[in-house]
Amino acid sequence: MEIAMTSIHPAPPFDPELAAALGLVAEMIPPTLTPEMIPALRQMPDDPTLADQVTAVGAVHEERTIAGFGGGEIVLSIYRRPGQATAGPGIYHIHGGGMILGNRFQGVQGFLPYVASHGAVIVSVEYRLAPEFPDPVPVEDCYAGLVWTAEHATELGIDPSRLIVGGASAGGGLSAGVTLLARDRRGPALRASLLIYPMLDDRNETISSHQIQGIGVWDRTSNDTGWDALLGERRGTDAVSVYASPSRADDLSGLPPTFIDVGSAEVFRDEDVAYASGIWAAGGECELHVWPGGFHGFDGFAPQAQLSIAMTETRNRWLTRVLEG
Amino acid sequence: MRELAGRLRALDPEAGDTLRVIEYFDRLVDGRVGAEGMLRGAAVLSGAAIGHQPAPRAPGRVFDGDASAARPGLPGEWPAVRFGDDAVVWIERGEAPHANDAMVLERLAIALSILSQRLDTTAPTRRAVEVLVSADATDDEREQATAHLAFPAHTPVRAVAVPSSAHLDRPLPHAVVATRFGVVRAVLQAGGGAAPATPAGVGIAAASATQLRDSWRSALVALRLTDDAHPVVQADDLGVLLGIAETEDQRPVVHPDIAAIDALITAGWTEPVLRGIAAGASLRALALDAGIHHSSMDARLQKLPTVLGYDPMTGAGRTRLDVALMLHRLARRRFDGGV
Repeated sequence: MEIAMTSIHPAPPFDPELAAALGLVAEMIPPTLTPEMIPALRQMPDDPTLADQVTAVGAVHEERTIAGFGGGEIVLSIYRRPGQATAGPGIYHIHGGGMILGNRFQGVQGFLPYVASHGAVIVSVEYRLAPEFPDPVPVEDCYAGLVWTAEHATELGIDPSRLIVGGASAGGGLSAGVTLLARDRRGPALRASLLIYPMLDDRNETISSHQIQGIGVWDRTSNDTGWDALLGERRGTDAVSVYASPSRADDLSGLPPTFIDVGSAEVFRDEDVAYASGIWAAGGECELHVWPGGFHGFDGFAPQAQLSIAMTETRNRWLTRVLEG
Repeated sequence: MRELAGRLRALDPEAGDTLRVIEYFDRLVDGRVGAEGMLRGAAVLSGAAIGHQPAPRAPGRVFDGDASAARPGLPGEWPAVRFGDDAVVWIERGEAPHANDAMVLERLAIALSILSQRLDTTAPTRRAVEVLVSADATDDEREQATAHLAFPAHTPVRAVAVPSSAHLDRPLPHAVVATRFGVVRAVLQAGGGAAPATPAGVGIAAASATQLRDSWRSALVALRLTDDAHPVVQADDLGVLLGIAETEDQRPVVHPDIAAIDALITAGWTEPVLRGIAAGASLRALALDAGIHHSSMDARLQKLPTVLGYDPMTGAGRTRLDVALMLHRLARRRFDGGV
């Protein structure tokens, strides 16, 4: 057995099912993403079954082009029942991808069943990505989409008292940022905020951010890649806003009920746990789940694993509660 | 999340990937992953639904390669691998098999066997039974096994042989053992009482558990003599025939009298008719049994001495035929079904 002498903090072991799954594709998924890999990573094909999944829940897909930050055009994808008669809950979705990758079609799959079961309306935003569009473009694009959604709630068939914001990874970080913006600008009232292993802290100095290097998915260097692209020279300085890096927020009061889940073996573990603690310290409501041995995004990578099933069920139970309440 | 890690996919349908498959299941075993995780993993790797039935009467479960709940199912005609006592895994691939299908099933079966051995609280009892019925265990091993099973003192114990698929009607120490006659379940029964399953061959009483090997040998003889009319055969009832049977069991090649029975059956004789001859049945009764006219039966009987090498219509011949028929069943009866 090899002992890593360079690290004071050994990483928690991966869950054996997840480790076995990761081992199968080890050479295909690099744990470390560097800036020069961004163009190739953006070529990853979209889920070819998305259209079928949309049809299967009885939804239709529409697109709207709206004004994003600074008047730049951004696209919203809307998934809902055709001819929605009574207003249903609204799910404003922000995709992940480390601020540098991904598009609005990635990550909506998990919410589609709520169209069928609850008459939900899903709005997924195509915010502009770093490094071409650095902070504040991504979070402000996302906020612009949220404001538009709230303003068009009646037209879209959304019950404005049941509008939630949520996303995974960078989408979780942007959801947290958008939630803070909505609070501070007295914007749309949010029923809840769903932060799936969110990317919250540009400083990258927690213990977990040091533990995960060269292993798993989205390691310390990858995190540097994402935050450098978003913040450039400002990264790590006082010039970074709490909306770009919500971990910097001193005031986490006045937030809607928040759900955070994260793996114990990923970079974001400690910043996500700290964020939940901050909400509690401010007298807020937060449900936190830390899944032992989970690497970043494990539920999407190996949905058949027992830990993934438990994570998804737990998250969906919470989501069902807030969408119904 | 797909943006960063993509999603675990099925293996290449065209290219064998043996090492990857072995490594995958080894990791699950090392990590002490449960059966459900193994089955779901196999379904993801193969890109097809995977079924598992832990025992012939147990409900079967089928897992698809996603997070959906298992559905009930049975192996049917799907490509399957049998393992352990009588468990089976199968792959529900409706098209030509993929390159890794066989390897995934094999490694899954191995992983599940290791798991079931690890979790099987009856394993020590099973091993004790195996030791007591085996021919080559040491006296020390037999005494340890006897101590583990803790039979009541001064009570005779019998070994009972039943087909491996038979369901025991009460909890008794048992083990599935391989014999020259197929896979058979050995059951140990203290005191009297009815056989715990049918068909069953009940061995002679052993004065102590350490002497159960002789009881087991006789139970195997008795089981092979069961039929629809006699679903339970007691070795005790065989009397002197038991000794003959056990001696013949040791014979490396079958006795010519047994080979002669084979020849008769090949030529269209049936066992019931031959038994009728040995029992001294009338020509008419024999003809009725065989479904032919008594004159035809008479013609057939005339040829028997030539094939047999003795006349089965005489007193000595009838006895010789009767014993040959018994030894024939002992030599030819097999218990491979039901697994």
